[in-house]
Amino acid sequence: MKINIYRSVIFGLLCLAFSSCKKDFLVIVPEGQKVATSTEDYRLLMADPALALYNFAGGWQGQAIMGDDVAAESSMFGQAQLPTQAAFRWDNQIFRIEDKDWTTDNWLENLYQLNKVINEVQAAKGGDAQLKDEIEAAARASRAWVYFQLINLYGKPYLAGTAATDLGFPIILTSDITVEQFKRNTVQEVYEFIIKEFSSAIPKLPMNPATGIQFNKSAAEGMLGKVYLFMGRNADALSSFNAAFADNALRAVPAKLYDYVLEFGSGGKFTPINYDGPNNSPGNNYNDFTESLVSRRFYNSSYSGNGYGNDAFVLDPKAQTLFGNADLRLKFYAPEFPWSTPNPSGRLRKYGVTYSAFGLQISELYLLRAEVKARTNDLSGAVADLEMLRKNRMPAADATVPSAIAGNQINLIKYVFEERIREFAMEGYRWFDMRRQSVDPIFAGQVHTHTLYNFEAGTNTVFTLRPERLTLRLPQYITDKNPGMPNNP
Amino acid sequence: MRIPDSDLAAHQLLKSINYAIPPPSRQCKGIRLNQTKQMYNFYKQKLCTPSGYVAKFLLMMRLTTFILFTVIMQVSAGSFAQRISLSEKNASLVAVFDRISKQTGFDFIVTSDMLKQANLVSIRVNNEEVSSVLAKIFEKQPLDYSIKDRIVVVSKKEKTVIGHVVDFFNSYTLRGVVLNERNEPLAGANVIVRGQNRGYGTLENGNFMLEDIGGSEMLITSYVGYKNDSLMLSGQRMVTIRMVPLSTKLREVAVLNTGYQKLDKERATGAYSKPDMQVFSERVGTNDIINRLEGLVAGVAVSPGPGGRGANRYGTGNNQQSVIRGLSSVNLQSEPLYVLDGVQVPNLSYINPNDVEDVTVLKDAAAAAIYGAKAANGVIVVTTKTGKKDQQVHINYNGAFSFNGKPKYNEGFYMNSAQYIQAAKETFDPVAYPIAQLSYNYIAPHEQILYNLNRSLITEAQANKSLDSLSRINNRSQINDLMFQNSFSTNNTVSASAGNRVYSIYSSISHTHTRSTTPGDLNNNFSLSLNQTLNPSNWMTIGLNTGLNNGLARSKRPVNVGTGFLPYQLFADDNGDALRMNYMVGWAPERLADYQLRSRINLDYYPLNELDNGFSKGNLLNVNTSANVGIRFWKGLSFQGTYGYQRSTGTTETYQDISSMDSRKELLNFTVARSANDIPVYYLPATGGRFSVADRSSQNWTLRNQLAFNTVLRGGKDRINIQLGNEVLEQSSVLNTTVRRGYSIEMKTYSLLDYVTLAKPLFGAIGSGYSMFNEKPFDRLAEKSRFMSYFGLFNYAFNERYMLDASIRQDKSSLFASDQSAQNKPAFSIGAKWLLTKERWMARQTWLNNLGLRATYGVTGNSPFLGAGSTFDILYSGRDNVLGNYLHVNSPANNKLSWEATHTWNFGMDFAVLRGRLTGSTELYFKNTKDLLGQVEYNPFTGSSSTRGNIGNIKNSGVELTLNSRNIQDRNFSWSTGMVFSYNRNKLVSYSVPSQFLVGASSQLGASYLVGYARRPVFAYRYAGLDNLGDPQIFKADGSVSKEPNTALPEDLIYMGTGQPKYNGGLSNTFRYKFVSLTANLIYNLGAVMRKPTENYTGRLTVGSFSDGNRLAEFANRWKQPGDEARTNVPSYVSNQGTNYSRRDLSYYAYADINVISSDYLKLRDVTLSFDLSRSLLEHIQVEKLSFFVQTGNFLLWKANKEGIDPEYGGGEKGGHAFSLGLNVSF
Repeated sequence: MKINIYRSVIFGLLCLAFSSCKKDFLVIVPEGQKVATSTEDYRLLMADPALALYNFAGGWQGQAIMGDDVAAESSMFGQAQLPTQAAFRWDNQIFRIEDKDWTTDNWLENLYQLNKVINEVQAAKGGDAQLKDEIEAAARASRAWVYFQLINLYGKPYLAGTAATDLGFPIILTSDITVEQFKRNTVQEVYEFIIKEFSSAIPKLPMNPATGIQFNKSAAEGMLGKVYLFMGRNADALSSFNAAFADNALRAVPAKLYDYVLEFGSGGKFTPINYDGPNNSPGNNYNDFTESLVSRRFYNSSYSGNGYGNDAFVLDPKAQTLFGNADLRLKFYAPEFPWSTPNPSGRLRKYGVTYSAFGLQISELYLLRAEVKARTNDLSGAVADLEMLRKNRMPAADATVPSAIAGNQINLIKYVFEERIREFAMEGYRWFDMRRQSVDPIFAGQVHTHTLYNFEAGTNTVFTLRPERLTLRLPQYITDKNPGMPNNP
Repeated sequence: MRIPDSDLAAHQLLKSINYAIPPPSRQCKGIRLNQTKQMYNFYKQKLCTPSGYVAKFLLMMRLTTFILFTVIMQVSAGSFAQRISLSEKNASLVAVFDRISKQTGFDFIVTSDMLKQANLVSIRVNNEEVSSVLAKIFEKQPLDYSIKDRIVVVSKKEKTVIGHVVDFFNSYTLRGVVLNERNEPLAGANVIVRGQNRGYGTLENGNFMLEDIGGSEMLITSYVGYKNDSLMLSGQRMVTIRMVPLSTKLREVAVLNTGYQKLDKERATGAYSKPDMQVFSERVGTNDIINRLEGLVAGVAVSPGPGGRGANRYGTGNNQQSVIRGLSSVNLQSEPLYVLDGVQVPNLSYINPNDVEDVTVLKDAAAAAIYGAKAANGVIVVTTKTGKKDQQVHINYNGAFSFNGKPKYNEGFYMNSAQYIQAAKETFDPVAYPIAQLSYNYIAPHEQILYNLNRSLITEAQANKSLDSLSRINNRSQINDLMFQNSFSTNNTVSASAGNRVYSIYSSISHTHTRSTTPGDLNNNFSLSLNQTLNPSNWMTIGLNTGLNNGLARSKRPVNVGTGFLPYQLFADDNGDALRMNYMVGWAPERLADYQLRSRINLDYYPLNELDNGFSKGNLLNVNTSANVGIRFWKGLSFQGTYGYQRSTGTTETYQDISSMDSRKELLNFTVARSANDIPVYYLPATGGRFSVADRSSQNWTLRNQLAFNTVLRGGKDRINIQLGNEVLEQSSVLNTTVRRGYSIEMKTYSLLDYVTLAKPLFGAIGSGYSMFNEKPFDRLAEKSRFMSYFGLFNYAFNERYMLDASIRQDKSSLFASDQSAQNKPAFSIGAKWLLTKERWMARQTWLNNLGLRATYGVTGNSPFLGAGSTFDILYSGRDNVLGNYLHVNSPANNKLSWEATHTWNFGMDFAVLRGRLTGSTELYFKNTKDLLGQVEYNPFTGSSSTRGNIGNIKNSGVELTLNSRNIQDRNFSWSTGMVFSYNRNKLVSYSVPSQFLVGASSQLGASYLVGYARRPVFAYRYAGLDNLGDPQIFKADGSVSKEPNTALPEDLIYMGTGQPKYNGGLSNTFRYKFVSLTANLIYNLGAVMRKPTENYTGRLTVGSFSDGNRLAEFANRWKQPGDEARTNVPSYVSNQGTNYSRRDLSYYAYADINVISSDYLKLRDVTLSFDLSRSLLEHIQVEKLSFFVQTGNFLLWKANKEGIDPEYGGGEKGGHAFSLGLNVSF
C-alpha cells in the first residue's frame, strides 16, 4: 500500500507538470533581428544605407546609358548585358520577360520601409513628439524624392495641359505585401503628392541630421524647387532654391563645392591620378558628403555582376566638344577601355566616378537656380550662379561665361543645359534634362541620337530616340501582376 | 568465463576490474567436498587452484589474446584444439597441473584431500591434445576428472564396475529439436556433447537424437550464422534448442523502437526498415552513421552532404545527407529527422558507430507522424547500446584501420603537356590580347615564351626549345607526392557491459584518427559513453545515457591543386626546393615589380611554402545526455519520461601569417606609396598575422512526458495501448567570432586597429587603387527555436490478426512568432494490418510462413527554418562603420505561412516463405506534399516582389522491396542474399507562377526545379552540329537550325531526365564457410542523367588558378578548319571574345542533348572477408568472440556512360579503393 501512495504522489505531480507551461513560451524574437517598437527603432530604420546607396544596382544606371551624352564602343557593347544594350538603343522594352528591373525594385523596396515609418512612428514607444515628427518628416521627404524619380521614369514629361490625364505611377501609401491590385495615378496627382509631401516635411525637418544620407531642411527645399522647375512653376522654384541656399548656409557643415584647381593642384586631395582616375575624389567615396545637400549614390562603373555596367560607354564626341581645354572636369575622363586598356580612337571614358551622386548636389543647386534665374530673366543672377560653379571647376581665367551668352536669355538657358552636361556627363542627369527639353519650346525640334562606334571606320551605327521612348514602359513582370493596368505606348 | 551463476559473475567482475580481492591462499585448508554434483557450490565457496587464481589467469589470457590471435590465424583449422607438451618424471600431480595450466589456461579444481591420495606422475608427450594427455595422467591415479568449461574438476574415483553398469542402465537416449528464432526447424545444425568428442547433425525437421546420455552433459549446438548455444542437461529426455542469429539481417527483428514506443514488428502497421547491422558495423571506411547505411535500407538514398563528400553543415566531419523516399520539398531541408535514444538531435556525426545498437528508419506517416511537423522527410532513429539485466561482464574491443590513399585521376580527361603546348601554339592570338593589356592577368610560362617570340625578344629556335621542354614535363606525380598525403583512418573502441537485477551498464571509450588527403590535415576524435539502467524497484526503471565527444581538428594552408591545373608546372626543383611561381599572383611581371618596389613587400610566390603559413585548430566538445524514467502505476497504466540535454561547444582558431601570399596581397591593398622613393605607409599591420577565434556553442533540450495505458482483454483477444503526452523542445546556438590583426603567436600581442578610419576608402593604395576595410573585430550570430507539442498514440490488436494504429500530434513553434492560427494543423496517421497467416483457413498450407498486409494514411509536416515568416516586419540590425547603426526591413510581415504538409498513403506486405528461408517486405507509397514553401511572386508594387509563401505541391510515389534469402544453409556452409530496391517518382505538380528568372531558356537549363517535372530536371538543346565556322547550332522548336546567340526559348529545349536517381538500392551476398565469411555489397543508382563536362572555352588559353588552366582533352579535337564539322562536335576556338559573343552561343554545345549522359552506375561498395572464430576454439583462450575482417571497396563495376566518368566524382577524378582491417574481440 505504501508503494501505491508513492506512485500516486508521483502520478499527481506528473499530471500537474503536464498542464503547466508558460503561454509566451513560443514567442521569441531571434537575436540580431528585431521588430520595430520604439521611436529609436524607427530612427534607425531611417539611417538605413539601403535608402541612399544603390551600390550594387539601381539608381540612375539605366538613365546614364540613355542620355545622349554617351556613345558606345562596339568591341565592348556586344558583351554588355542585354538590358544595357536595349537601354542604349532606346528599345521599347528594356527588360525581357525573365529580367528584373533592379532600379524600380529598389525604389519600391524603399517605399515599403518609408511607408512603414510614416504609418507607424507616431505610435512608437518612447521618444518625444518632436523626434517622432522629425523621423516622419525625413521619411516623407525621402518618399517624395523616390516618387520624383519614379514619375520621371514612367510618366510623361510634365506638361500642365495634359498632366491631369497622363498616366503616372501608383501612389502607394501602405507597407503590405498582400495587396494585389494597384492603379496608376496621373502625372498631375503624383506631382501634387510630391509637392505635398515635401511641403509638409520641410517645417519639421532638422537642419543637421546625424548623417549626410538623411534629408535636412535645405535638401528638401532644394528638391521642392527642382520639382517646381520641372513643372514650369519658375517663381515657386526660385523661392525654394533661395530658401535652400539660405538654410544650407545655416547648417553646421554646409554643403560646399570642391575647388578643383586646389584639389588637382600639387598635393591636392584628388591627386595623384592613377589608373582608376583621380584619387580620393568623391566619386570613389560614397561617404564623401562635401557637395551633397542630401546624399544618394548609385554604382556607375564596370559591370559588377548586377545592374547595367558601363564598360562599353564613352563620352559622345559632341559632348566632348562642349568642354574647354582647361576644364578640370576633363580629368575624370581618359581615352581608355576599362582596366586601363588604351582606346586608340581617343574617345573618352569616365573614370574615377565609381559612385555617381544624384541626391541633391550643391553644384546642381547652383545650376538649377541659374536656370530658373535665366528663365525669369535675371541674367546676371544666372551668370553669377554659373560662374560660382565654373570657377571651382577650372582656372578663374576660363570660368567666365562668354558675354554673347551672358546677355541672351535663350542662349544662357541653353548654356546652363550645356554646363549641366559638362558637370554631370555620363551620370544620368542628361536623361531628365532631355525629357524636360522635349516639352520646352526653346528646344523644339531637338533630335537625340546614340552612336555605336565600330572598329572599322564608317560602319558606325546610329540610333535615333523616338519621342515616346522618353517615357519608359513598365517592365513586363510588373504589368503581368497587374492585369488591366495600361502600359505606356 | 561462462559460469552460469550470477553471484559468481559478480564476484569475478569485482576481481577482474578492481583487483581488490586478496588472492586466496595456495594452501587449501578445510575444504568441504560433499559430492561431485555440487561442484559449483563448492567452487563458489572456496577456490583453490594450483596455479594461482582464476581471475589473474583470465587477465593474463586477455593480454595474450592479441598475440594468440595472429598466431592462431596462421595455423590450419584442423589444429585448433589445444595441444600441450610435457616431460615429467615422478612429479607431483600438483606440479603437472601447474604446467598444463600454464600451457593451456585450464584451471584445476582439486581438494588437498585428493592430492594426498595422488600418485606421482611420469609422462612424456609432445604436442598432444589436452584431453588425451589428461587421460594418460589420470590413467594411473585413484582419481577421476571431468572438464567443465575449461576447468578440470578432479574427483575421487568412486564408482566401481557395478557403478558403471548402473550408469549404463541409467543412460538414455536424448531427443531434441533445433529451432531458429522464429521457431522454425534448423536442418544441419551441429550438436556436440561436450568432452565426448561426438556430435550429431540435425535432420531436415531439425530433430536430433543422442544415445548414451548420462543426464548431466553439456550440449553445444552450432549453426552457421547463429551464435553457439550451450545447454547443460539435467536429466531431461527431450530438449528444444533455440538459436539466436549473429546478424540482424537473418533475424526478423521482433521489436521496433520508434523513439516514442517499442512496437512488436509483427503488429506494426507502418513502414519501418532496419539495416543489416553486421554490414553496418563492418563499414569501417567511414565513421559516419548515415554513410554506413548506403544501400542497406530500401527507400533511403545517401548522397554527399551540402559541403561535398565528407563535410557536414559546419564544414567539418563527414556527414552525409540522406533522402528518404524522394525530395519532397523545394526550399526546405530534405534531410530526415535524426533521433538519438528518443531525443531529436541536429546530426549524428559525433556518434561512435560502435556504440550503435540499432537503427530504425521510419518512412511512412504511420511510422513517423508521431514526430509531427518535422517528420515529412522520414525519421532515422538510432539507439545506443545498453547493458543487459543479469548479464556478466563483457569486454569488447573493436579496432579498425582504413587506408584510402591519395586522389585518383581520370587519365586522359585533360590534355597532357604535349597536347596543351600544341593547343597553346594554335590558339595564341597576340592581336586580340596584346601583352600590354595583360597587366592584370596571369601569364603562364608557355604564354610568356610565345609573347617573347612575338615581340622578337627570342628567336623561333629558342622558343621552340623552351616549349618542347615544357611539353615533355608531366607534373602529375609531383603534384601527387607534394600536394597530397595518403589518407587513412583508425578507430579503437573498448567497451564493457554488465548488469544485475537492479543495475546494468554499458560503457565505451573510443579514439578515431582520420587523416585526409590534404597535407597538414589531421582529425582526432575521442568519445566516451556511459549508458546505465537502474531498476530500483519492480515498478520503476531509470535509464541514463551519457555521451561525451571531443573532436580535435587541425589543418594547414596547402595550395589546393585541382585536376585542371597546368599539366607541366612543377612545384619543386630536382633538389626538392620550392619553385617560385610569381605569375600565379595574377599580375604581369612589370606590374608585380612596380608593386614590390613601391610597397617594399616581397611578392615572390612559392606555392609549396604556403603550407606552413597558417593553421586552423578546432576543438569541439559535445555532451549528450538523456534520461528515461519509466513508472508503472496500476494495472497497465504507466508513465514514461524522456529528458534530453545536448550541448556542444567548440572553438576554432585560425591563423594566417603575413608571409602567406593572400596576406601579402591584402597588405598591398592597404599600403600607400606613390613612388619608389616614398616610405610606404602600411594601414594594416605588416607583421604577425590574422588570428581569429570562433567560439560556437549550441544547446538543445527536450522534455517529454508520456502516459501509457496497456491492457489485454478477453484473454488476449484484444490488446490495447493508448499513450498521451507532451513534448517541449528548444534548440539554440551562438557563434562568436573575434579577429585580431598583427597577432604574434609567440608574444601573444596584436595591433589595435582604427576601424573607423579603415572603413573609409583608402585612396592610392598599391594593388587596389582604393580599398575599404570592413572586417568586424567581433561578430555574433545566434538563433533559437522552440517547439511545444501534444501527441497521442493508439494501438489495437484484435485476435492477434487485425491491427489498428493511430497517432496524432499538434506542434506549435516559435518559428512563426505569435500567430499560431496557421499552426492548428495537426499531424496524424492511421494504419491497419491484417496477418493472413494467423487466420485459421491459412493454417493448413505450409509454404507460406508469414503474410501480412498493411495500409496506412497520414499527414506529416516539414517545418520552415527559423525566421521564414513572421507576423511582423523582421528587421536586420547592421552597422556601417561610417554611418553608424541602422535597421533594415529584412523580411516583410508574412503571417500566412505554415509548414509543408505531406499526405502519405502506404501499402505494405510482409512475407516469409519456404520455412522462412525467403523473407521480405514490399511497400508502395504515394506522397503528396502540399503547401510547399517557396518564393511567392507578390505584386512588385508592394515593394516585396517575392517572399516566402505556401504554394504548390510535389508528388512522390514509389515502390520498395526488401528481400532476405538464405540460399544455402548447411552445417558448414551458408550463402545468404539480401536485396534492397527502391523506385521513386517525383513530380513538382505546381509551384505558383514560375519565377521570372526561370522563364528564359538559359535559366531553365540551370533551374533546380520546374513545374511539371521531377526535381533537378535536366534540359538540353537539340544539337544540330557545327556550321562551317565551327559554331554550335541547335534545332529550334519549329525545326529550323540556328546559332543566333540569346534567341533560344524554353520551347526549344527538350527534357532529358532528372539528376536525382529514380532507382537505387543494394544487393549483398554473404558466403560463410565455417568461421570464414565473405560479404559483398553492391549499390546502384539508376535512372538519372548528368551533363558531361565539355570544353567550350573562349578567350586566352591560360591559367587562372590552381584548379584551372588546362582544358579538357576534347579541346584538341575541336573544329579547326572548314569541313571539320563533319568530324567533330567540339566548337572552334575564337580568341576574340567580342566576336565570340556576337557570332555564336557556346552554351548551345555545353547544354546540348549529345552532352547529357546517363549517370547510372553499379558499384561494389564493399567486399569483406571476415573470420569469426567459433566458440569451441575460443573456449581455450577465454575469449567469447573473436572476429576480424579485411575489407576493400568502391569498385565501379558498371556505368552507363562511355566517357569513363565515375558519376560519383563527375569528371577529372575517380574514386579510389579503400582498404580496411578490423578486429573485434569480446571477453
